[in-house]
Parts: sequence; structure tokens; C-alpha cells
Amino acid sequence: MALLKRVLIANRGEIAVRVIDACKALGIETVLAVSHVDRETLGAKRADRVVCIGPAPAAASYLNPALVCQAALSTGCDGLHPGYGFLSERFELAKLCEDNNVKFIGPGAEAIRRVGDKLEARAAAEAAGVPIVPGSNLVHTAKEAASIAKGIGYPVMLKAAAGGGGRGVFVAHDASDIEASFERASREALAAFGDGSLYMERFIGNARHIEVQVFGDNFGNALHLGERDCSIQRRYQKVVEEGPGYVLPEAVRTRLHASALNLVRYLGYVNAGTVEYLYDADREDFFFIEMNARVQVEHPVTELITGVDIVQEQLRISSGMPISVRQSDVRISGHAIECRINAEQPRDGFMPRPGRITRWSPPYGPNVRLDTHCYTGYLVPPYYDSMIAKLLVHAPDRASAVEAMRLALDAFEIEGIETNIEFHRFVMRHEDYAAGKVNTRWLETTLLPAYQKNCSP
Amino acid sequence: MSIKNEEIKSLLTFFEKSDWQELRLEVEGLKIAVSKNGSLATAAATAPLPVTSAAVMPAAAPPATATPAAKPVLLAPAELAAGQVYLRAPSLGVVWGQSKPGAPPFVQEGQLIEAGAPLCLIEVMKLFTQVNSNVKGKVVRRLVADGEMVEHDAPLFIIAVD
Repeated sequence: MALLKRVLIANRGEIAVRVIDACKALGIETVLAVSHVDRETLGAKRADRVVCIGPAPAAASYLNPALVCQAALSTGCDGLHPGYGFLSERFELAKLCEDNNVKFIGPGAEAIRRVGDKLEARAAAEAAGVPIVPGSNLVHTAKEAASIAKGIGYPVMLKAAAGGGGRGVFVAHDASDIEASFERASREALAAFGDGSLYMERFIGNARHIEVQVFGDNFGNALHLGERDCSIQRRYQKVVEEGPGYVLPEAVRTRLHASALNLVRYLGYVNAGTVEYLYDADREDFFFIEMNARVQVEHPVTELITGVDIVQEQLRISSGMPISVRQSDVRISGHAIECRINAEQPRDGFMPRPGRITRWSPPYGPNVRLDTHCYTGYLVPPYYDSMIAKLLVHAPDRASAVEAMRLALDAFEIEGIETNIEFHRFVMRHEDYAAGKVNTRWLETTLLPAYQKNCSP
Repeated sequence: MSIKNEEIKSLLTFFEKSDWQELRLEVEGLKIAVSKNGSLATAAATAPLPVTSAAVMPAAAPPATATPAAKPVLLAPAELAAGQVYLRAPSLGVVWGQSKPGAPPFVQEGQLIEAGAPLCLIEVMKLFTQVNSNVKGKVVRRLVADGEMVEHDAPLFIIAVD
């Protein structure tokens, strides 16, 4: 079985560089599809060939499946890597590639559709024996709500069926609370969404985001590379990720990995994926959130602690080869942390701050990894995501990893644009973070108020 | 800087449509000689063309043979004279000069056109977008042959503005 010959990279920024380097390591030729403003990027310099597919706005370039597929065909590519974001989980692109004999480097179109549909993914998880958050179908009366809440266990959330993004959610802490909460939630849902329908879920107060890196191949193999803890989030966006999931008791970790592999096998999933869970740290229980059918931003965390190159593995699997790693050979070594470095100003509501980088002086060291597309003189364009680098450290244990990250952040100097580096320094020095006493709401409820107080004169 | 498959393909398409009988090209690391009547003036080595993907070669292309001796034929980059503008590609795509195979071309070189006149089609995965002139004037030169891929913003025509 031979590797793919030439791969079109349908993405930009650091992940384009990452995929180009992985292709080069395997001797695969690279063609980078760029927008008009990305013709001078680091990825464009490293790729064997660059094709400009459209103007700067992503809708007219990076988000157009037909354009990137045409670019792959016209440049003689036999594979296409979508990176993350943009078209990476769009059924249309995977299908177009399949129909035109260009290997889409990811799961097939049908798998993307299945795991992308929230209800279908939840049903698949349930069928595969993966725990899902205890909840209900539509609840019609306060009495019904009280009886269901008894089954789920308090505290419970009442959520507007038509809601989303955290709006229209009420928490009832005990039985005395439930009827009043139901009436309030129903009234508010009707006012806000024109639909008073509600459903219920168990409320997990002390929740962590834990995810398992998985692989499947065309030979029926399923592999996991352990888990990551991505609980440090702002508005559902990950800010800091690390691995392994240091709060998991060993027995829970074993069950978690087994459940992720069950889902991979149930779906017949091929290529890299991530199974995301909510972990109830108080009850030591985990529940399925969703599955991501792509390489993740935070994949280097896992690469550092396992030594497996996830992108190269993707390329091998898409070339029709089996996974090159056996489960029994996977060893988790030490602890890794990743900070997402963004061109933004945390003191001003995290507003993006594009512009020209006049000085780029990153940290170096045997335990430091920096995934980036930036350099002195690079213009961060205003059209795309504001992430400019992923700074990672790897150390024998979590305490030394936290210390290594503090030093790396202190040594990282960028001039010309504003960044969130100073904010990351604050996170790394907060006692809760150092002690690992965080959950998915910690950044917004505890850290940000402390940070703002610290910033004001 | 080596020559790309698409450039070879475009060259061959260009040659095919021209009234030339023979074409020889020599650039760094590559020599090509093609002939329409199958009788190249020099006996040529029959080493295959160093093209990595055969799929990009048009089926109707004349036979191509590498030859050790050939005078370079250079396609000079199109320069704009005073009063001329480029009409550029709105996105990446494949260029077609007529509304469908066999139909007359939208425009000929030398033709006078009104603003808004259709000039060519850009194909992206079997979807065709008509490219219209944004100026009134005369078509000086068509720069891209049928079936060739262009990138976003690539010049397609030179128009002398009226």
C-alpha cells in the first residue's frame, strides 16, 4: 500500500503549517489553497505549490467546498486535508471529494453527517453503551417535571427546547424549587423564543471537559491515545488544554477509554476523532457530549505525552494503511499543557487585535513546543480567527509542567500587536489552577473577576 | 522554479489551437518538443515527460516527446500598454471561452465590446459563472486558453478601454 502522492491543504494559519510538515516528513507533495491575503504566509512559503482560490473573506475562499475541491483536482492532488474549523466537518466537501476520487483526510462523508447531527450522535452513543446525561423528552406540566426530577436526581436543569447558548436555562436545586422553576422557565421560554416547550437534564455543578483522542482504520482497528482536560473555557471556547486528565481516578479512566473505543467500533469510524465528555467530578461520573470528526486544535497535547504524530497517522490511514501504533504500545508519559495565544485584548472584552507583528521572540527549550504561522513582519489579517500560536510544554508531572509554562510565557515577547499572553501568565499563577481546582465555569466565574480587579489601578 | 503540470497543459492547449506545426520548449530541467504531423525535425529521445500526474494531460493533446536539443520558446508575460486594463478572475476555476462546447466564442481578439458584455465562463466543480466586462472597449488579448485553471485574481483578458 502506497502513501498518497500529493495533498491539498484546505486551511490556513498554524494548522496549514502543521499538515505541510507532516506531509513532508512522509514524502508527500503539498499544495496549499490560500485566500488573496494569505499568499505570503509561512504555510505558503513551505508548501510545494500555492493556489489562490478566492478573495479574503472566508465565505468566498476557505468556506467554499467547490473551490477547494476544484483546486485539488486542477493541481493533480489525490488527497485533501481540511485541518480544523472551516470545511473540516462539512458533509458537502467530504462528499465532493469522494465523488471525484480525491481522498478526504478525515472520516467519510456519512460518518461526518452522523456525528454532526446532535440527536443522531446521542442516539449512537446510547446504542454503543456510552453514558449520556440523564434527561427527559418534552415536559408539559410542573407536576410531570417534579416526577421526572425525582428520577434524574437533583439539581436539575430546565431548558427551553427552542433555546441555545445557555439562554432559557433554569436550575432547580430540590423538590421545593421545581414547580416554581418550571413555571418561570416556561414563561420565559415563551417570551424569548415564542415556544414554551421545556426539557430537563441533570445539572452538573462541578463539571470538567474531558475528551478522548481516538482513531479507527479500514481494518477494523480502534485505538485511543488517552484523554485531555479542556475545562479552562470562556464562552464554550477552550483557552488552556492539558493531558492527561489528572483528576480521573484510574478505574474511571479505564471505563472512559473503553466507552470511547465502543463508540468508534459502533460507528465503524475511520481516521482521527475526539469523543468529548462532561465529567462530574463530585460523583465521578462521565457523560457523552459530542464527537468531533477532525483533528483538534489541542492535538499536540496528546502528541507530547504519547509520542505519536497524529497528523501523520491521519495521512497513513487515509492512504489505506492500518494504524501504525498498537494499543499495548501506547504509554502516557508526563504532563503537557497548551495555551492558545490569540491576537486579542483580554482587558477589552477579548476584542480581536489584528495588525503587523514588529517583533516575534518566542521561548525555546527542550520541553517547549510552539505551533505557529507567525514571524516578525507578519500581518495578522482581520478576516479570520485570532489565534496566532499554540504554546505547549511537556514535563514529568503537572506541577513542573505548570512551572515550565509560567517560564515559557514569561519569555514569550511579541510586539506590534496585543495578545493574551499576559492573561495566560495570570491563569498559570492562580492558586486554583495550580491546585487543579477548576471546572468549566471557573474561568468566567472566578478567574475573570480576579483578573479584572488585578488590572484596574 | 520548475514548470508545473498546468503550465504544460496550458501550453499544449495553446499549441493545439494555434496554427503552429511544431513547438519546442526548454526550461530548467525539462525539454519538450511537440509536433502536429508526428515528424519532429530531430530524432528525439523517447523518455517520458516528467509529469507526476497523467490525469492532467488533455486527452486530445498531441504526442509529447522530450528532446535533448531545442530552442526555447518563451511566452512573455503580458504587459499592459497605456489605456489598457486586465479583466481578472473572480475566483479560482477553469476557463471556457464559449457558452457550451461547439458554440462560437463570446469574444474574439480585436472585438469591440460594451460594458457588461460576457467574455468567458469560470467553472468550479461543474458550476459555471459568467465573467462580464466591467468596461467598454476593445478585446486586445485573451490570456488563458480553454480548460486551463486560473487562480483568484489572475488576468484573463487585456481590454483597451474606450
